[in-house]
Amino acid sequence: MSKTPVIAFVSPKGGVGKTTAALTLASEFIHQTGERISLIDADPNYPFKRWAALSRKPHNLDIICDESEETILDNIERAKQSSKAVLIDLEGTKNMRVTYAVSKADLVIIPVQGSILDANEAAEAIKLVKRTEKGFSRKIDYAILFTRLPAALLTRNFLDISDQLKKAEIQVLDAQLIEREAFKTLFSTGRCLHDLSAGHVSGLEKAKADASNYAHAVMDRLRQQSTQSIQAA
Amino acid sequence: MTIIENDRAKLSLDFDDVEEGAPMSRPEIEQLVEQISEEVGFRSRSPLTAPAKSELTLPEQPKRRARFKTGRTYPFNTKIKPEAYELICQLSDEATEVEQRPVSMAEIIERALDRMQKSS
Repeated sequence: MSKTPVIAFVSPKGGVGKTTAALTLASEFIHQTGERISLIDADPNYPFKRWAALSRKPHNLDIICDESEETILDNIERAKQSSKAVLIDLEGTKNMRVTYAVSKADLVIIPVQGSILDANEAAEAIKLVKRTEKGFSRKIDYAILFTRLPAALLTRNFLDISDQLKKAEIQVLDAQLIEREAFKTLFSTGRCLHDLSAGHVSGLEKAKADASNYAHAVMDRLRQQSTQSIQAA
Repeated sequence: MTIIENDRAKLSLDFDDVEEGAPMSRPEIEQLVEQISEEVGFRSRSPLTAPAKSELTLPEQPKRRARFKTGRTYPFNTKIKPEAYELICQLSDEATEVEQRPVSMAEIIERALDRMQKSS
């Protein structure tokens, strides 16, 4: 039987790009695999409800609006049955629903912008992942994803943080999301990245290249983890 | 499983299923999640449903002083046994009826404390 990977987007802080990172990944998975993907919207502001209301989402992307910590486990289980990958976009707070989602996740992606404050918040998310992994006795991988990076050059701040994370042996995803107009356009148009045309936005090809690298980096981590689990079993 | 290394051409979402030990019961999961959340400080709870934003606007009321100023301003929030809560409610209802004025739960607790102090 095939296992459905569950990927949760976690950050105790809002506005770091969780929702964009989730939609970009879902969009890329659908484009590259053509499989059915579920995206659980577990943010009380329901950004994906509004996005889907524009009626341009791909037919094989299911948006599930989760209500609370009492419904998230059932929603994850149902989504696992009906799709090939489950992505969960969580609220940017230290919520118990986050722990529920992490307990079911195979990979937790922690979006971080290039500021030290963000990095501190990320440390709390990592602590949660580690503690949940131990409590539930199952492998839960995590990786920091740098988001909203300036396109022109890598800032000093970013390099400093990146360096500090490496020294602390914190897992960083082998791809970044640059702040691009195309990613913002997804939400204003209700489309996926590959349904945008050059007329919608400039720099689309670069955004597609970023998205592809990002999806491959996520996949590499999932495969690596899957291989380790099989070796351990 | 098929491991496609550095396959940049096409992604595949096929993963072999791996047994993950004995499944836990729902109460076990809930208890563990609560414990972990407490430990790492992810303890806030989401509301069951988002508060509905009312589109109705209430007619403006003239500002006036609240009728029942009780002088009780200190917040006191705790958990008690359901039966103790019921008893406070019952005593409050009874006193309200007998005295023909609202006797709050706070006042019932204060009277109980008063009696304890006097009897000791």
